[in-house]
Amino acid sequence: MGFFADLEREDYDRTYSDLELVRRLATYFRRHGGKLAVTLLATLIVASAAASSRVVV
Amino acid sequence: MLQEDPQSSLLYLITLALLGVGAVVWMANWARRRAITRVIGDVILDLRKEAFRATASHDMSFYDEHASGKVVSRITSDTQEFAQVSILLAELTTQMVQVIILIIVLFQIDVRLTMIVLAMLPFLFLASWGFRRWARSVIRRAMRAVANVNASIKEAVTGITVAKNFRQEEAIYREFESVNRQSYSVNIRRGFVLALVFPTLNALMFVGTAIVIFVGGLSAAQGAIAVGAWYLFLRSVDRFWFPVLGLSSFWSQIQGGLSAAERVFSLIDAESAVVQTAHLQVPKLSGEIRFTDVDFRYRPDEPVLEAFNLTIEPGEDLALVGHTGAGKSSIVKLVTRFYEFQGGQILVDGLDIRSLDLRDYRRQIGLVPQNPFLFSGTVLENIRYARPNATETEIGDLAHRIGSGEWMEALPEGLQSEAGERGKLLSMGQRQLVSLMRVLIQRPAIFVLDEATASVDPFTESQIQQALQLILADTTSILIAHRLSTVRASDRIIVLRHGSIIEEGDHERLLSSGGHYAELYNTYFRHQSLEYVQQSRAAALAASTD
Ligand SMILES: Nc1ncnc2c1ncn2[C@@H]1O[C@H](COP(=O)(O)OP(=O)(O)O)[C@@H](O)[C@H]1O
Repeated sequence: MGFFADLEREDYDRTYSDLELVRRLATYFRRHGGKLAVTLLATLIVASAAASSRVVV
Repeated sequence: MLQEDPQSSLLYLITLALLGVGAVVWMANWARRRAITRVIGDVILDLRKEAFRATASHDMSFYDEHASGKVVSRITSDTQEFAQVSILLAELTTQMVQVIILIIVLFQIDVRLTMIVLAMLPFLFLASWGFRRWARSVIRRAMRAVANVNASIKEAVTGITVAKNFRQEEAIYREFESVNRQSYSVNIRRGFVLALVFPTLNALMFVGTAIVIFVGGLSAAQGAIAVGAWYLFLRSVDRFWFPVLGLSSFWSQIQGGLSAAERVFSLIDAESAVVQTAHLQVPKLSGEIRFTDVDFRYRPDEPVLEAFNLTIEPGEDLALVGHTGAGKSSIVKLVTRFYEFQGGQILVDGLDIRSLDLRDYRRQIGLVPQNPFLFSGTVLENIRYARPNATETEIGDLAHRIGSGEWMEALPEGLQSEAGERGKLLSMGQRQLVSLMRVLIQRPAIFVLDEATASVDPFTESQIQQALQLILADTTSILIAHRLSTVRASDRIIVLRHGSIIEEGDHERLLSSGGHYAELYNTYFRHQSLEYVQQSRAAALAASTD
């Protein structure tokens, strides 16, 4: 490796599984449930409009 | 007119409806982006807060071992990287929903062709999955490289005076250049790996479309599917690939976001080496400190203290002397509970140091490190640091008790003078005075001084000594002494060598016994003594008259 040798992990670095990471991140996002609901609804509207316009027009 | 022409009225209606849909979509899009920006902003805020709080609460050992620039990089760059990925993820979700809706539409056009398209998906996902580990490792390395660059900049900026002093700007620049180059190479490599993902997936899709054209054409020729439907299908499937492609190619970037999150969580979860067994409220301490058979080492194979015993009486002023590496700072680091020890017991007023509430305990410890650190702000604010409710008159009175306040008058605006970043607007001696004042205002039970080695002018020196006397009078003190006057002011001197106490007693006795202390005295302290100064002056005088 040579050149990249000192790109070592720090001794406190850990490896988490993707599931663990996602779960933990979800706890941060969960606090904003209301806004996420708005996002989801808006997303549905935008996506269905976009998808159908591809077919109709 | 509309009633007369149903054709054109339908056209108007469709146009209006389309406009309406357009407006709704625009609004929905706007609301969506707004909400996403808000949520992600808030999440990053929380993450940074938590990472910072965790970092601030880590032990001193953590800071000794890890470059602060790298830690900073985790709190700033890595959370930022995660934010970018989150925004991407939100986009992706929209596309995902589109894909699902499209699948429904495609199914309605032709089931068989749709099945073919769906059959391609596992291959795509398999390919993206294959890239996963690879992408993750290059991304991790890229982030470490960025952290190195940050650490190098930080070190250069904080050490700039030293560097300039020794005309080392060029060396600093070279070092920066080297980490910067490294970061460049690593990031290019990251780009190359990611650049491979997209074309590969694209090629896979190309195969998919070819199969659909072939099978669809065959079916149309056999009359199994209407030519119009085939055409419509091809048009829609094209729209289908795009988000799927996005989904898979973003996958590696999502890995980047997860790596970033991983680094931030590692920082948050970094375990404290100092572990308290209980959190007892600490009563007002009298300051008796007892080391019983204490074993301590920084690294497993290098013992620093072994079966170390020492008792410091309440109110006693103890000076620690010894060569560099003798273990003076280590003893102090254990008393302040900055480091964990491996064996034995440390009792403070008879209480196990491990059982105390650390915040409570440290409030009763006044610490003046070798290079007193001042925060940017006024001198007054710095003195008040440990007890923010101390009044200005109280501080003013105290300041006047030291050299009748002359040091304060030497400051351009008295207590209201700006200290500057790390106190750089003040002289070394003034910084020491301010840090001693800080302890005086704090009124701790235990005072720990790692005396500065830098010599200051005799005027400031005498004021420092006065401040020191005021503190020593009311506290149990542990002094890592570098000044003869400080050693002399102590009640007892402990002479350390290789982590053991080899001599103890007061200055006169130790000196007359002619042991290690006498040797240390001749090396470090003698030139500070009055006799020495007078003698050498006399010698110089004799030489000049010769
Ligand atoms: N953070 C550290 N990590 C590893 N070893 C250390 C660390 N700090 C000090 N040491 C080692 O511990 C020994 C005692 O050092 P220290 O207590 O700092 O001595 P002193 O204060 O008397 O100069 C020395 O051998 C030193 O190299």
